[in-house]
Amino acid sequence: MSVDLDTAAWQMNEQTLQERARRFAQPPVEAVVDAVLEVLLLRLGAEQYAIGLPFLRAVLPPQKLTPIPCTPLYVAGLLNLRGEILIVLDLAVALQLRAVPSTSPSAQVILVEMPQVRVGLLIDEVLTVDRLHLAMLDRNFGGQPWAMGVSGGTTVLLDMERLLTSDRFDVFDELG
Amino acid sequence: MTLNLRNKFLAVSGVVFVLAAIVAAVGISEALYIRSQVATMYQADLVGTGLVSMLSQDMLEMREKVLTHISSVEPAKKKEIEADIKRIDQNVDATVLAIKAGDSEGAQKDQVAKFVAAWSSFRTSRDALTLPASRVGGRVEQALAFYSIDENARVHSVSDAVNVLIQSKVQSANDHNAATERAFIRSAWLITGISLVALLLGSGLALLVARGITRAAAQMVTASRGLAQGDLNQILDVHSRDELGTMADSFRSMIGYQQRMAAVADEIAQGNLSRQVQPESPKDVLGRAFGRMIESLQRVAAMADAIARGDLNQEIQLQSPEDVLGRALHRMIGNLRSLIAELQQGSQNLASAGGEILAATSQQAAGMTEQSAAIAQTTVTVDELKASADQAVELAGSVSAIAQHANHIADEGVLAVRHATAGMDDIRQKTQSIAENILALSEQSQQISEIIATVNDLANQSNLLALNAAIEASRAGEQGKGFAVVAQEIRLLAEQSKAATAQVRVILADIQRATNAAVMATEHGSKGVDAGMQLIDQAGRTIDDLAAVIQQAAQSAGQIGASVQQHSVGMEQIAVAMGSINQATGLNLGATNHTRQAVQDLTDLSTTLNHLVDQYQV
Repeated sequence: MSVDLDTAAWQMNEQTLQERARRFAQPPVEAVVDAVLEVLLLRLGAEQYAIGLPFLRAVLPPQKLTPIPCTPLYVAGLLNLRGEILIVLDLAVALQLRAVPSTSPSAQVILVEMPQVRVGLLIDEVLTVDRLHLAMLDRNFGGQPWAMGVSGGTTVLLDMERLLTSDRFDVFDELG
Repeated sequence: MTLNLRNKFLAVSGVVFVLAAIVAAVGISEALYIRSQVATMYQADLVGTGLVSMLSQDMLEMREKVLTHISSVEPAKKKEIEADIKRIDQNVDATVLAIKAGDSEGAQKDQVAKFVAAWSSFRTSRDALTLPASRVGGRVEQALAFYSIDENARVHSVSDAVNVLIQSKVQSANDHNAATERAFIRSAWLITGISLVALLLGSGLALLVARGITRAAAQMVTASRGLAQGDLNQILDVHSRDELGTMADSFRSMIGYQQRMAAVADEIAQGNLSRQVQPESPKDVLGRAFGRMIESLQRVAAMADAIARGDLNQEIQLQSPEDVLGRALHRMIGNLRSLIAELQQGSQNLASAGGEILAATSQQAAGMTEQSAAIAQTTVTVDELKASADQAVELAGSVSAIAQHANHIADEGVLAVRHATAGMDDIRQKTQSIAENILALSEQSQQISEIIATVNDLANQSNLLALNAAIEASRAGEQGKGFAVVAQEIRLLAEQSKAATAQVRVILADIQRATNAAVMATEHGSKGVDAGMQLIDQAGRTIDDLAAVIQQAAQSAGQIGASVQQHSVGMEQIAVAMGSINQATGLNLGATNHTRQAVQDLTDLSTTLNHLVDQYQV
């Protein structure tokens, strides 16, 4: 009896394995082919964010920032980039992820360039460059207006235009 | 007149005396002559010369006085000078008288007369002319003229006379001196000659007389020396008519008497007591003594004859308190009596003692047999001892051999320790070099770590570049697609590099830990080697000590062997000695038997002796 039972279990397992092999053998189905966005994955605190590469101009090597007195907390300081003076904002503070400026040793500055604005953002760590399928973005996560969506449940795609023109950055208003 | 010794001596003495008297007479007469010559020389010549010198002095003084008289103007002074002149005149007269008195031989008579004539002429002229002229004050020139013409000449003649007188005196003195010298030489020759003659004559006579006396005396001395030594065959060939001849005659008769007495003594010495000795004279002490001696000897001979016959009952009359022979005989008889008595007692004792000795000798023989048995036992024991001593010698030999082997092993041990020490040294050096190598390795790994840091940096920069390249590619749009792939690849490479550096860093940390551990291990190893060296040193010392102890043990074993060898030799000697003792005991046994036989003979002898002694009448 027991032999029969074992044999039955083994046959069932084999069926499962064959089925799984068949499924893996299928080519992946491209759901949305049109919208693919190249992004830079970065870390702010414990969270992962993405910024579209078209907004970026460069990733700068770690540099010493010159603090500016009498400015909001999210202004990390000034940066001299080949003779050009850049304002650098602390993105984590700006997104109200934390109240104090970043102290991470791997902190880096990325240069954001848009038709309206050219500014440096201080982030905790540059992770990598990735491609995001816009169709696969979860846009209904009820988050902030500067977030385009969430990819894979973990990465928040930032909408740079909205972020930098939002009212929380008064400075750019003036600039704009 | 007989020419006896006294007369001879008197004659010789007389001759010598006469000659001595002649020498004395000649000497005295010559001495007297020399004395008279010397006296004359002194009286006439020396004193005369002195007087003449005085005259010369007076002349000089006179001349001075006269000239002073002339030159002085005061009348008082002139008077005073005239008194002086008078005194000088008197002096001269006295001196002339003295000279005349001294000139006894009249040798200077003419000279004196010449002086006196000159002197009186001078005085006359002076008193008549010079002094009167001088006395009158203003006639000094005249007085001087007188003096110079007249007196001066006279004064010169007086002085000449004095000089001649002095020369004559000196001549006379020389003559006397020469005469004295001649007399002395003559007398010296005379005395010497006569003395020589007296000496020769006296010596010759004395020699003649002395030779006669010496010859006779020498013969008599020879004869008396021979007599003193008992040689009576002396012949005296002295027949002079003096006392020596008489002495020789009596010597000859004395020799004859002694020869006769010697013949008598010789006969007595040959045992002939029958000779009758007649004394030569009533005072012949020796003859009478010989007679008494013969009588006394005859009595002693009779007594000795009786004693010889065994009759000891003789009474001895002592001739005098000093009668040695009589007393000796007396003592002999007494001693013989006691001797015979003691002999009788002794022979009896001898017999009983012989019996006792016999018994004792038998006992001794038994004892000797027992001794012989004991000696045999002792010999066996000594042999056993010797065998055990030989065994001990062998054992000592084997102990010595083992000790030598042990010594050899100890030497090898020492050598091994030395090798071990060298090996340890080598190990230490190698450990040292390992430690150094590991340190170098550690330094190199440090360098590697620095390089890795650089590589990591490079990877980071590469990553950054790749990111920027990706951004640029994205901005380039469709054309940048291929570049984006390249950027992606570069970024992957950079990430791989980073991962690799991380891995290398982990490995480096492992290496450093390992090198630290190795350094510690080499440190421990070095210490271990030191401890090992100490241990080896200790082991070496221990082995050395052990070797020394073994050496001592070997020496002791050798000494024990040697001493046991000596013991063995001693045992052998004891065995030989025991054999000798055994032999001697055997000999003793034989001797004891001989003794027993001798004692038997002795007993027999004592019996015989008893019989003999019984023959004497005590």
